[in-house]
Amino acid sequence: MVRGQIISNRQFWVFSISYLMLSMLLSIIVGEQSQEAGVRNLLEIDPLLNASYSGLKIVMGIAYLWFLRNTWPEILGILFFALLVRFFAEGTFTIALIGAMMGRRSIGNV
Amino acid sequence: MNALRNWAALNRPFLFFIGRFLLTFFSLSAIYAFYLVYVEKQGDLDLVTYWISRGSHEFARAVGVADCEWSCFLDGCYVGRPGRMVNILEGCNGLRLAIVYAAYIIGIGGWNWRSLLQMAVGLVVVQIFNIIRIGGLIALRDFGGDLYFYFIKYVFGVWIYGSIIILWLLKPRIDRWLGAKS
Repeated sequence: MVRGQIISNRQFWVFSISYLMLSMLLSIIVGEQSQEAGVRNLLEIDPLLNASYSGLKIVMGIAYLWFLRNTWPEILGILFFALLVRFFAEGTFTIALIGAMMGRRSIGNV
Repeated sequence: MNALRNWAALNRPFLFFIGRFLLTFFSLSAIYAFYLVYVEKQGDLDLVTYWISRGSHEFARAVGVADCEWSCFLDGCYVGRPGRMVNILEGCNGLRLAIVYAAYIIGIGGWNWRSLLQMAVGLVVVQIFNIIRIGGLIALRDFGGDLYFYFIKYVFGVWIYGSIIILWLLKPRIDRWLGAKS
C-alpha cells in the first residue's frame, strides 16, 4: 500500500462508513455496560475505562487514516486537528476525522 | 524542514480548508459558550434546548403520542407521557454537531454568500434531523416494546452523524444550484 496514493471513491466510502459504524458500536457497548451497571455513563465514574475508551477511539482513528493512505506526519496532523475539535465539543472526534478526509478529497489532493 | 515546506506547498488548499474550519468552529463555539454563560447567569434554559424539546414534543404528538407532556427546567426538558418521559439536556440539543457541520461548509467553500447561506440553512436542517430523532425516541418509548431499545442503541447516534455526512455530500450539488462554477 503506497502512502499518499489516491484511493477510489468506493474504497473511501467503505472505509469511512465502516469507521463510523465501528466507532458507534464502541459507544453502544459502553452504553449497554452502563445500563447493566445501573449508572448513566460508566466512563464518568471509571477513569481507567475512560482512558481505554479514548485510547481505542484514537487507535481506530489512526487505523482509518492509515487505510486512507495518509503518511504518518499527515495522520498525526489530522489526529491533532480532530482532538482539538473534540476538546471543545464532546462527541465530535469521529465526525471531525471523517470531515477532514472528506474535505481533503473534495478539495482534490487525495 | 524542506520536506514540510514541500508538503505545505502541495497541500495548500487543504491547509486553508483546515484553517477556515477551525476558525469557524472556534468562533461559533465561543458565541455559543458565551450565550450559555449568559443564560445561566439569567437563570434561564438556553433557547436551543427549549426549541429542540418543543419541536420533539410536536413531532411526537404528530406521530400519535396522545397526552404528550412537555416541561422545561433549568437543567433541561422532559417530554412524553408521565412515567415514560425523555430527558432532553443541553448536550442533546445537537448544536455542537451542527457547528462542526457549519465549520466544514465554510472550510470547503470559504466566506462567500453561498457558503454562509448553506451554513445558516444547514444549521436549521441539522436541528430538524435532531428533532425527528428525539421525537421518534419519545414516540417509541410511548409505544413500548423492543423497538425503543433498538432505536436508542443502533439508530439514535448514527442518524445525526449520517445526516451531517449526507448534507456535506450535497454541498457541491447545492453550490451548482446556487450558480457556482464547478
